[in-house]
Amino acid sequence: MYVPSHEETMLADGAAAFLRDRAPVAALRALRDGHDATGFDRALWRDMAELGWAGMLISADHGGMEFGHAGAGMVAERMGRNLTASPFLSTAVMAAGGLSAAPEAVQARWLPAIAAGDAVVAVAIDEGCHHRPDALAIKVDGGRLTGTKTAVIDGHVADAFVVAGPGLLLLVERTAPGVTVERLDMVDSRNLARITFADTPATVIAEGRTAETTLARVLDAGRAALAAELLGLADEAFARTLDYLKQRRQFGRPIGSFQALQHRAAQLHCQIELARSLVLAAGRALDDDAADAGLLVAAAKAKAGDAAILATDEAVQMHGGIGMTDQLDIGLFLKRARVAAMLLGDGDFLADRVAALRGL
Amino acid sequence: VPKANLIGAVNEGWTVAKYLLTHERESIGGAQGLQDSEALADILHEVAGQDLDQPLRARFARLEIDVLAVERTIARYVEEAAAGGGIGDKSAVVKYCSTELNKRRQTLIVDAAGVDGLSWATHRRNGSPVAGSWLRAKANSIEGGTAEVMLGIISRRLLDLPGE
Repeated sequence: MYVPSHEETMLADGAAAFLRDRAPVAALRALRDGHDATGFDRALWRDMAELGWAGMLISADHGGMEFGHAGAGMVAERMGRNLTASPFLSTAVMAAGGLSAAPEAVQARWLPAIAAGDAVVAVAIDEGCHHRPDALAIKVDGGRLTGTKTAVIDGHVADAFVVAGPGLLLLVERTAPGVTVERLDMVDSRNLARITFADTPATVIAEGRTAETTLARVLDAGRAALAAELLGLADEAFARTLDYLKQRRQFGRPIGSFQALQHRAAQLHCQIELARSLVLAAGRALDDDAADAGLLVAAAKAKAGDAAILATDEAVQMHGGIGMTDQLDIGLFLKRARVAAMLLGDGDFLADRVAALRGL
Repeated sequence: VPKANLIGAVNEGWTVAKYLLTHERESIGGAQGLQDSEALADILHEVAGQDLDQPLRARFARLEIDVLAVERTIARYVEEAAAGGGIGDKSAVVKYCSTELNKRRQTLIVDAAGVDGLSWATHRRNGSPVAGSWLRAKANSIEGGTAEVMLGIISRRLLDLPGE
């Protein structure tokens, strides 16, 4: 269960090599410094789609690979190491999951386009500054949508939106009347948007119980992928810090020889190891449709978020003054850790969910 | 002592001893940390009643996440060891994490029981003493190699940080 299959090892190694070449941290820097209007490289996303990443969770009938959540996590983990910006989370993981509950005609219109890397579809859930998917208030009247969604990942470049409403899951095209899009300027230089709908016509994807279970699945898939991304990010920030501890000398010896730093590094290693186990367990549980999948996903994202925040905080402190500068990538890791840990439920939200799922 | 009682080769005693210590670490990590496999939520309900206040519930949740994480980590290391390579110095991770976890667990149970948790007379329904278990857990991070020794093993042997 924890040891990857042959196919998964090939996928993970392939992803590591591809991303190191094509989408390293320098690529995110270039997007940021160039004030890129899209926020990711569309041609690169098509190349990722060629590798099968855009269709990892899409059925073969609709041009996908059906690789599963554990595999998607392995790709997300490598993206985390490189701070790769792409619509993988919004479109390939979340929107693909939401659309899989739609009537066949809607699936046929969107899923093959997603798998090919041609369509970007964003999922609109949050309505305030905190993630509260159980208290949605957006108004739906006679198939028309009115209200505001925020923290919509890749929202400003999406061709369509999967919108969560009270007991409803809807599809809205970007070109529909009454849609206003505002890109948010985030600390991690990645894509979030606020979307306003004013009497906007929408297509129903799912209603009632089906809408609720589909939204729950989309959230779990998204949280599992974010947890994997956070794990990769924590791993890379820690690896860079360890290198620095071995190389930087003070008082005539490497600073990594000081016990004060050694013990903190060892404790951080433990936290990352704990997160790694939960990330793997959560991906497998989603693929097996296990009864405890929601619990493991919540635990995995909470733990990976804490580990990534600790890893990047410690990275800044242990790098000293230079860790505060933009010359090093450490600050980019720290900012992404904070945003990824917040999206789809922060540690407090997820801990509350764990307590509720355990009957408290 | 007859020669036949020699374990391993001559002059390899330390290798054998380290192996035995690894296993002692795992068994303390396993037995004291997690063998108490009873669901923590049930224990808290038993000692504190059905209504836990919010701060206690939040601490429970954070601890429960770590319980899940340590259980899965042990399962992962066992599976990885079976696939080849053995558990080796990763046993220090298991020992450190599971003993720190058990200390937090016993502390939370006392807090859930309130002042009754600090009375010698208070026992769980299964007969175990609440205060006694909390005090016993203090030894977990001392016996079988202290927490500090474990952190030293992790930093030197797993992270390859330089010696002093």
